[in-house]
Amino acid sequence: MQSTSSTSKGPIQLHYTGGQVVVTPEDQDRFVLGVSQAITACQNEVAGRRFLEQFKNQLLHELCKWCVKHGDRVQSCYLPFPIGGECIKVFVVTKSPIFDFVLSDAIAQLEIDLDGQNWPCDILQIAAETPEEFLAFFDPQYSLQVYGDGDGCTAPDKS
Amino acid sequence: MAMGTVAQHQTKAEHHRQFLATVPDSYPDWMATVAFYTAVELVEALAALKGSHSTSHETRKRFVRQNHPRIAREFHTLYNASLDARYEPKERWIDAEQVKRELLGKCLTNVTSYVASRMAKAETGPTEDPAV
Repeated sequence: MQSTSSTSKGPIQLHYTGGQVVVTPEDQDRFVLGVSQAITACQNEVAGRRFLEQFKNQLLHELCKWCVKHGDRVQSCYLPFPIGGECIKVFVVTKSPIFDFVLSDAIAQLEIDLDGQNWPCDILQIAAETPEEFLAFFDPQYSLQVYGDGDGCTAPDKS
Repeated sequence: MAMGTVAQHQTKAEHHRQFLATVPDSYPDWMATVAFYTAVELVEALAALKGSHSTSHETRKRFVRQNHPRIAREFHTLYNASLDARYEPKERWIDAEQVKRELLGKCLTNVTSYVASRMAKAETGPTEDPAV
């Protein structure tokens, strides 16, 4: 196998017809993989970065904006991990101590709007005050808090 | 939920509706739950018209949003309120009057009449919401 040090001046060229490559990260936990796998890893990395960017700039931004708009009724908003699947789960904690019918209509409309942006979500309102009460639905420790608890939007803004 | 025919889903919806009428006011949580599952059967009847069925609550909601947006708000409210009724503590439940007024009187009534109108038109036209 040909060895090319990462200290070489020019970029290391990998062609999809190539053989194997050995990638040595800082922790010395080496990867031995075919060039095609290396290419897939690169493509996945680019796709992952793109997804994250869109996730922040589109979905989180829309959710934040919506929560701010309905701040008189919304206490906080969470996305439990893992995020993804057929529909992204979103929990909206209401200020109302019981089910808020007005907010329910707004949530249904938000789901429709997010569908239109290719972010299918299952958004549920819950009336809860303490993290212990959240646990019937999701674990706040393993969730991304998008909004609330007096901090407004806690997710990164589009700007 | 197993894939059923339109008639099978309608029969189950009616079955649930009859049970709903017997639930005492002291069980608003079960009233909300049965109301939702009545709506589920009605929506599945719509899906069966197209030869499909839903494999989860999430996909069913999405089917409603995309194909029958005129009942998306009502269906979402029935779903969410029934979920809260099952998992929230009793002090957070809506009472029987609210269930009757909002969930039965508005949401389930609208879903029922919408589905009935779609069924009536099924043989002559498309089953999607014309607003789509």
